[in-house]
Amino acid sequence: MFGLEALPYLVNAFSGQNIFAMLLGVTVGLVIGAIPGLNPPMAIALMIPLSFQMPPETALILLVSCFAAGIYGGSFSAILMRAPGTSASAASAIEGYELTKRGKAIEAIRISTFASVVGGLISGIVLMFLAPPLARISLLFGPSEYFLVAILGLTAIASVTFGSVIRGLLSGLLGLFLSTIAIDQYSGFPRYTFGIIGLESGLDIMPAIIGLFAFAQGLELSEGDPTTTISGVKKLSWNIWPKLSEILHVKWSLVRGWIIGLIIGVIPAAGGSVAQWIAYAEEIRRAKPGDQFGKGELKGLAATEGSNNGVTGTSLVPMFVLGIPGGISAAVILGALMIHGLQPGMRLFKNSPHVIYTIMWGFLLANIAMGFIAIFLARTMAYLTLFPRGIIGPLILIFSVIGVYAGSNNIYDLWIMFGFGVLGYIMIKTNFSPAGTLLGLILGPIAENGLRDLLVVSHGSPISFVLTRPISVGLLVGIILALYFSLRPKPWEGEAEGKSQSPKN
Amino acid sequence: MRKYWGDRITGGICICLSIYFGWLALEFPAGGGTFPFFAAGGTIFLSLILIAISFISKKPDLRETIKFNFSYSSMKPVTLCILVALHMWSMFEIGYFTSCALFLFIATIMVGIRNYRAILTTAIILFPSMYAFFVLFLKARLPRGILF
Repeated sequence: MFGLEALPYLVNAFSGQNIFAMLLGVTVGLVIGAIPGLNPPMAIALMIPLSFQMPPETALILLVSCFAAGIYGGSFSAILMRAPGTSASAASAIEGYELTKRGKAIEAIRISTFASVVGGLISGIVLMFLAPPLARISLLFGPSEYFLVAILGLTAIASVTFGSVIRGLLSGLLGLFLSTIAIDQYSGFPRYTFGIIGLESGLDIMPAIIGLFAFAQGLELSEGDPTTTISGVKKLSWNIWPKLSEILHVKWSLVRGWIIGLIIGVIPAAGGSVAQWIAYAEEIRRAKPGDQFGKGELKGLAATEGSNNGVTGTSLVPMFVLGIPGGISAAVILGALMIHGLQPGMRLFKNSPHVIYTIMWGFLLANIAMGFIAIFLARTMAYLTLFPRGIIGPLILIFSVIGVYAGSNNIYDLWIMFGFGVLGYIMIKTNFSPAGTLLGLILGPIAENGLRDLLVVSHGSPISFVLTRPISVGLLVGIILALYFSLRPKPWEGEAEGKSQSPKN
Repeated sequence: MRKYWGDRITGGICICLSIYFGWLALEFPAGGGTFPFFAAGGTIFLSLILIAISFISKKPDLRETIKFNFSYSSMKPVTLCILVALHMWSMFEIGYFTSCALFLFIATIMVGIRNYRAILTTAIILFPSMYAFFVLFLKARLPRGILF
């Protein structure tokens, strides 16, 4: 019985360093999530150097706490100033800001807090119960399955690049190419190193993550008017928990939002950005006479806020089980998992149960903590949105440089981070997907080993071999479906345009 | 230049690079070139699709004109990159505190911030906090130079 399996590790989550990591992750996530233009993947990337010296479970608690709180933090700026802190809060900006204009900002924040905290908790519980049995599937995997699961991951993440799946896939293939830079472990022959000694051990994931997500964001923020601040909202009440009557008024919208979030989270690469629009569309479809959608309807806000935090836990399910992230933040967390020497799949649950279950308990506690920390941070978060981007941009660049050096003490890693930062910036500007490249880099070695072993065991006939294995056929169907769903036009894209071209959950 | 030309040029560059890296992979022994070939083949295939779409698609956004902007404002990221490269070199020569403070002052002023008090306050609070966190708490090493 799984519940009993996980129970002994609850105590671990309450150790001093795990509680400290959780509180730090929640605080950083809330603050960074609330600042428009900064997003959870960037916050997680910046946290990785800090987590380097920590035990794996503490490090991962820090990162998953940052993830959950980042999504919730994004709602503050979305509601208060129609400037979503994250793309997962873009739909919340529609009803949330209208409520603010009608003088109901605090009601909107209250519903958002309840929907996010409870949504995250439910999502964390589903993660606990769903991940271990699903992880057993990975025991049935052979070379062909490992190769195909890596390709499925890349195909799925490509769909995150709204409107340009081809560019997303090309980004993934670039990541695969970059993953081959190193001495070949089969032959000892250097590949694409061009005589540079620092490249012989390959490109580390940590500088790649920080470059693609933090450094590139720092460069982007330096553009435009540096003194830009969003609005003058400075006052928030300390009371950000809703009354029972307020909850009952939107109860079914909350439930629908949570369910949509839970389901969408399990689908690789779909994430909160997709879930919130589906939840919002569903609420509009169910609108009754008197509802004020588009003019400040609490039901719409409850559904979008419930769905985007409902995603957080379940988006970690495919990541922990198969190594396929459920969103961009999960992709960054996957990188961190590997930096700490952990491999997704059944081995993670069998060999390191203390790590994985402590992380899950930590995630649950983080969702509770974020509601309470937000009470104290609410005013500060409103002030933070007044911080000029001209200062935030250079600060992120400094933190990227110092963070990478402190993490590895390797000058080559600094230049690799710099290279990935420039690449990430160019990719953002040309509508390519930095997340796709990162995932290609992470999944490249898995895919390559799978392909080479597949060619050996199939005696050079990989296609006929793959077609004899039911799981491989299932994965092939998954790849085709992922391509189909990412290529067909999405009904919510018209609404999302201008708000979230490239989801960053 | 219209946007579809951007797709064609991007596709062309991707194909050329894939052929070059695929050609380099011919020398890799013991099947070391198999995976790079796979990636090169996939890239060429997708690039051809990207180019084909630029010819047949009727999407209005592909017909939009790309406006190249070489104003000071749009070149800020380039200047910042040069500054970061200098910072990465100088922090091993003059030390963490001096290099970071210099970078923050020059970079923020260069992007257009004139609130010197805010910059100074940020530097005074942030850099010692970062030092304390990394060096004293996490026992990590930060760069040292002739200054501090």
